[in-house]
Order: sequence, then structure tokens, then C-alpha cells
Amino acid sequence: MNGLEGRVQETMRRMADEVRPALLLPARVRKRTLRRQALTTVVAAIVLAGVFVGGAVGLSVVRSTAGHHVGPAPLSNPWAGVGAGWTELPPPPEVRDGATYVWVGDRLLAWGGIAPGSAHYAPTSNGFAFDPATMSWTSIPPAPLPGEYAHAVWTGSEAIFVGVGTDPSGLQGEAFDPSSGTWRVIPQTPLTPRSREMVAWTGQGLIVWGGGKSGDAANRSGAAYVPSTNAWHTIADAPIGLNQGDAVWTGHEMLVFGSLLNNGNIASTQNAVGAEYDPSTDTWSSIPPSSLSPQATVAVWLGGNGLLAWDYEAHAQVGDMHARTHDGASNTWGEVQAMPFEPGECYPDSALVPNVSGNTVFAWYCGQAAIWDSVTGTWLPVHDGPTEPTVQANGRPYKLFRFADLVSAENVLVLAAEGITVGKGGEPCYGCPGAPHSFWVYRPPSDAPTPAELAPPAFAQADGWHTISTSTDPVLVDLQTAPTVWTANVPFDPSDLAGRTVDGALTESYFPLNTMKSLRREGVVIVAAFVGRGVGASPNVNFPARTLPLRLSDAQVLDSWEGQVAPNVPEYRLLATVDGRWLEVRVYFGTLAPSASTLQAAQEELSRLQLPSRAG
Amino acid sequence: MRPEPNECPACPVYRPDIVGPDVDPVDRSRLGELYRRHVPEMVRLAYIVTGDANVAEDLAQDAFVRVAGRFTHLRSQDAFRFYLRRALFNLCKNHFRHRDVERAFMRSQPALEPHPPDSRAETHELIRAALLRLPERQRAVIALRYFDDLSVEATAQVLGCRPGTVKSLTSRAMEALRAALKAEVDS
Repeated sequence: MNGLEGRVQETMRRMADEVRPALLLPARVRKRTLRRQALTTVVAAIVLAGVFVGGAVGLSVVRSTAGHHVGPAPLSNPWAGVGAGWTELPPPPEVRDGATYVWVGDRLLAWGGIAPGSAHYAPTSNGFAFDPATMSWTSIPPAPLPGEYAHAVWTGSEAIFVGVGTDPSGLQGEAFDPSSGTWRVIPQTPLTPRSREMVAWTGQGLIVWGGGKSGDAANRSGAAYVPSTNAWHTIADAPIGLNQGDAVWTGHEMLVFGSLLNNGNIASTQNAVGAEYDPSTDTWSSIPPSSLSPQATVAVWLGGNGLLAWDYEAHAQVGDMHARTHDGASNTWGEVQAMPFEPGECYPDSALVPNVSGNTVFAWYCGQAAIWDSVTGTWLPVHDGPTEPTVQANGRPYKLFRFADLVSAENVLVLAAEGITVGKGGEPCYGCPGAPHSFWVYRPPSDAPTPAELAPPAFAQADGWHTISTSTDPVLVDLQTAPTVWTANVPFDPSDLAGRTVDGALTESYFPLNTMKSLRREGVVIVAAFVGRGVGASPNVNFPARTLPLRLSDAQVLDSWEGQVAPNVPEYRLLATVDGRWLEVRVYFGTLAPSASTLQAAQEELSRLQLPSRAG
Repeated sequence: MRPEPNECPACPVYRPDIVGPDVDPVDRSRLGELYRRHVPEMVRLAYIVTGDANVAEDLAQDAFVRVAGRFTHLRSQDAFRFYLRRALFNLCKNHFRHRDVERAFMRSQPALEPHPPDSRAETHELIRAALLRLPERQRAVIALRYFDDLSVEATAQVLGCRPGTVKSLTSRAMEALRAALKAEVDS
């Protein structure tokens, strides 16, 4: 190091001494970290186990959630055949008002509701299951109790339905095991029957809270059911009461948000309000009032970014619908964002659709759809699919599919749309006999790399050689890492792999530095990586055009190199443009003068280098 | 806001039956240890790059939240430190990109004192001022190479660029620093 470098180093050390970082973990950092950990666990579970964890609740649709997956996990993404954008699904054999939809890991259940033409509007007790692998519906056995507009959560082994049956003395529930096709009635809740209650699945328990007529004790009360003990217990009353809103699970708290409406739909507060419940301490805390309208609000949990809520107000004008995020770490609301919706008379609904490049919130309102990207924090309208058809009513066009139930199902959204009919006088009729229905799946666009783009170079298997390469799973691998393969004629030092592998694949590229440091004379380590993703790279002075097999004799030999791990380890560097991709290959030996046989062994391994198919 | 559970002696007993398997309890207890071990160093690095102690602390804490939150499976301290460093420099990059702080900072810098350095302290002040005038990427390379003692390869891994880029940035930065010092001495 020359004089200037030494002085620069000394200056930076002096600068570093000027700051006195806090040595204790600040509470806000701890809280944000735990929330992010919870989200990461959730997203990983989605991809790895093929189960979805969510929380936001619609009026009759509950996101399926999973804590512990029992039974065989799906081997692949069940929606693999569905591309980005809209895909129409076949309708169930019978489309029922008030059916409850829940995703159970590999199938969508549509259960209960009022059968078409039912003379006495009697709820049903059976339902149907949609299998995305076959794109078809099958029947599921009848449940002990019928239900309509029930809530459901997926535990990983059972779908629990609450708000079923007709017993006036208490809120009832039952559970369906899709693997065995069997039902069981769960113990009666300690709660009075109520409507518009909110539910959240914590990962091990189900919380039912709020609802009821304004002023009822039900507004603030709730109970929790734990499947492992098959028992309910009441939870502390909340500081606020709600009967119009959503409950979301943040990872360690239930957050409820909405309003308390009277019979005339007049809210008890000026703005939508919320509170957080911590099951570990059985305590509630408030969040600041939002500026959102209490008329109708909808909320989804975004993970580390907090809560996203948006509203609808009666007599709204264009631009009057707003969204805000709430940051749990600072307990503050973010900037108000305008929603890209024309005003109408509908309740809004949302669902979170996780994907590897961030969470997407899907919003539906009066036949209009939009997505919110958690990375950019912006709303984009979604066109086509069920948003397209219109009918003429009252002398103007109306969106045909004005209402919808939303279900998050892995990395897609399933939308059960209900249309409007037009009366004899030309007026639109909502929920009238003969209303059309259609079923859709929506996959948000993603800029995540494809497995083909992440596929690293490979070495054909050979005796005595050990290889490991970076994962092609965009959730597991660091997306900034180059697709890389390591190969060596010695076992890799465990410390090179510790913390860098998941399921036998590297999560980052880097170099097996410790293996290189301890190389014997005959030892060889080769690291091959693509530079950049995709194809279409052109040869240049640094990356000349070459073909496989690469020749060690073409390599630039460096006896000393920047970052050299040991003075006896030379680097043989080969850069090439092969098949439209820039390839970087570095060969390391345990001696500056490798023997002819060692060079030959390295060349033979180099000759086994293969490039992945572009089709993945 | 409700206090954290460990800061709440009056809180009821922890009830694991209803709390989901979201966070490994080991990870909860390790957070403090990881923070103490890594964040002070990251604050210092960020301070060298940004020149602002408050910003540095915020960036280091944000980086910690990102990495500790995402890589719960990591058990290797080295890997944690590597990811933390990378997250920190990505955040530094965003900080400069989004807030245009660098240009504002450059405009706000007073002219250097005209007299030549006649002591080690003044030399350090000159280098410090020249360092903070460097483009953000060059400053990051210098901080990683000469403060954090990283190799070219490791620096490239942290910044997500090619080793050749690191060498080039290092060379340009040192050239700029040398020129700045020479100009001061000459004047």
C-alpha cells in the first residue's frame, strides 16, 4: 500500500471514530425485523410448500392460510399452466349466492351458499373443488352443518368454516380435511351469533372477532380456536368496535381495520380506525385514525411495508377514492394515494398476491381492477378479462361483472365474478335472479427472472469431482448473483457452503475461498459463471467469441492476482462469449507450477462444461 | 405504542398456542447479538460513504432489517455480514439516487482552505473533503477496499459489479484524491 492509500485509510478510520453507533437493538428495528422475518417465512412457505398464507377477509371469501402443512406438499406450482394476465375458468356445476371460497394448497373449494332456484333460500351443506391441474370441478361430500356467507381459513391440513349452521345460541364451526374428504364439527364458539365478524389465522389458531349490530357487545369481543387442542378461549375486548372491516395477521399480531356502521350505514367515527391485538400478551393497542372514509374500507397486510387500506365514500367523485399505507414500526400513516377507479356504489375488496419480485395487491371495485406494486408503491389499472363486458342500463353502460369474490391462491388470484341484470324498466338489478357468473384467474405480471435465466453453466458428472451450482429458484437465490457453478477435485470446505446453500444449491455466487486456500499441489477448483442474464451478448475485446470445449491454453495465467487467497494459488482466467452469453471461467491450482497431469485433469473437467438450454 | 414484550413486566404470560410459527425464537434472541456485532461497523461504513451520521445510522438499521428479516435461515456470521454489507451499499445507492443528496452536498461544500497542509491533521481534512467529493460509487469502493480491507473480488461481490470495474473505480478515485491533494499543495 503506497503513502496515499495509507493516508486515505487513516482518514477513514478517523471518520469512523466520529460516529458512535447505538449498541443496543432499537425497539423499532427489532419490530420491523420480526415482521419482515414473518413475511419472508410466509413467502418461502408459499413457494416451497405450495401453501398460501394470507389474512385479509372479504364478506364471503376468506384467503386460505397455512401454518403447518400436513400430508404431501404439492410437487409443483398448481397454476404453472396459467400465464400472466387473465385466464377464464370453467364455472362450478352450481353457482351459489353466499358460497364460501377457500384455497386449500392445491385446490379451490366452493362450499355452501344458496342453490339457484331455492324456494326458501335454504343454505346448502355440500360444495365443489376446483383442481387447477385438470382445470375441472369435482363434488365434495356434504358437511354436517349447512352454511352461507361463512368464513373459512386453511390451516395446512383442514379448511375451518365458521359462521355455519343455524343454532341461535352460539357461533358454530366445522372443519373439512381435503386429503380424506371428511368433515368434523368443531366445538361451539363462546361467541354469540353475529354477522360481519372478522377472522384471522395466526398460523396455529383462528381468531374470530367483532361484527354484530352497532352497539352490541359483539362489536369488541372475540375468541380464538386452536385446532391442536380443539378448544376455544375468549380474548380481551378491543378498545374499539367494528362491524365493517378486515382483520389481517401481521406475523405476530392481528390488526383489525374498518368502521362501526349503524343501520343507516352511518359510521361512529369520522375516519376508518384500527387496533392491533397481540395474542402472546392478550392485549390490544390502537393505531392512529386514518384519513380514509369509514363508509367502506378494505385492508391487506403487506408484510414489512405494513398495512395497505383504501376506501369508498358514498357520492364519491372521480379521484375521491384513496389508499394509504400504515407503517407498523413507526405507527404512522403514509401519503394518500388516489385510486385509479371511477366512483360507483360497491364495496371494495382486495387480496394480496405474493410473488418473488414483491407483493402485489389486487383491488376490485365495481367491475374495475387495479394492482399495487409493493416495490414501486404505485397503482396500475388492470384491464380486460371480467372488467371488459358492459351492459346498457339507465341509458348508459354499466360494468357487467360488478361484484366479485377474491381468493389468493398461491401466486395467482381467483376471482368469482357476479354480474348484474337489467330490469324491464332498463334499471340495473344487483343480485337478481338470472345474474350471470364467471370465474377467472389473474396472474400479476412479474419482472422476476425465469428459471432459464437463472440456470448456471454445468459440469457433466465425473468421478472424483464435486460440483455445486446456484439455485434457479428466484426466491432462494440472491437475484443479484451471477448464475454460477463451482467444481473441484477435492471436497468443498464446509465453511464455504455454510450459510450459502439451501436444498443443495448455492444462494449466491462468490468463490470457494477456503477450499482454494487449502488446495494441495494436485488440487483444482473451477468457478464458471455467466455475466449478466439472458442472451444476445456480443463478443468484444474482453469476451471473445469461443466455442465449447474451452481450452485451458487460451487462459490468461495470473500468478498473482487481486484478492489472491494464498501465494501458491494461481488464477487461470478465461472470458468468452459462447452461444450469445458472456461466460467467465476461473481455474485455480494448489501450486504456481501445476504438473502436466493436473493441467490435463483440469482440461478434462473444463471439457465437461455445458451451457443450459435456453428453454430452461 | 405497546412496549415490546421483553420490556413489559406486567404483560400476561406468553401463550405459544395461538402465536404462529412465524419467527424462530432463536432468531428473536439472536437479533440483538447480530445487531451489536454488525451494525456499528455498518454505520461507520455508511458514514464514510454518505458523510452524514444520521443518514448512516438510518441506512445501517434499514439494511439490518432487510437482511435479518430475509435470511432467517442464515447461520454463518460471514454470510450475514456479506449480505448486510451488500444491502447497505444498495441502500446508499438508493439514498443518493432518490434524494439527489450528492449533488446538493457537492453544492453545499465550502471551498477548501487555501493554505497547504502543514500537519497530519490538515492532510486528513483535505483527504476527507476530497473523499466526500468523490462520486458515490468511487467512495463506496474506497471505503470497502481501504477501510473494510476487502479484496477486489469481495468488493465486486458486495457492489454487484465486475472486479475490473472495482479496479477501474479504485484507480479513478485514487487519481482524483491524488489530484485534489496536489492541487491543494500547489496552491
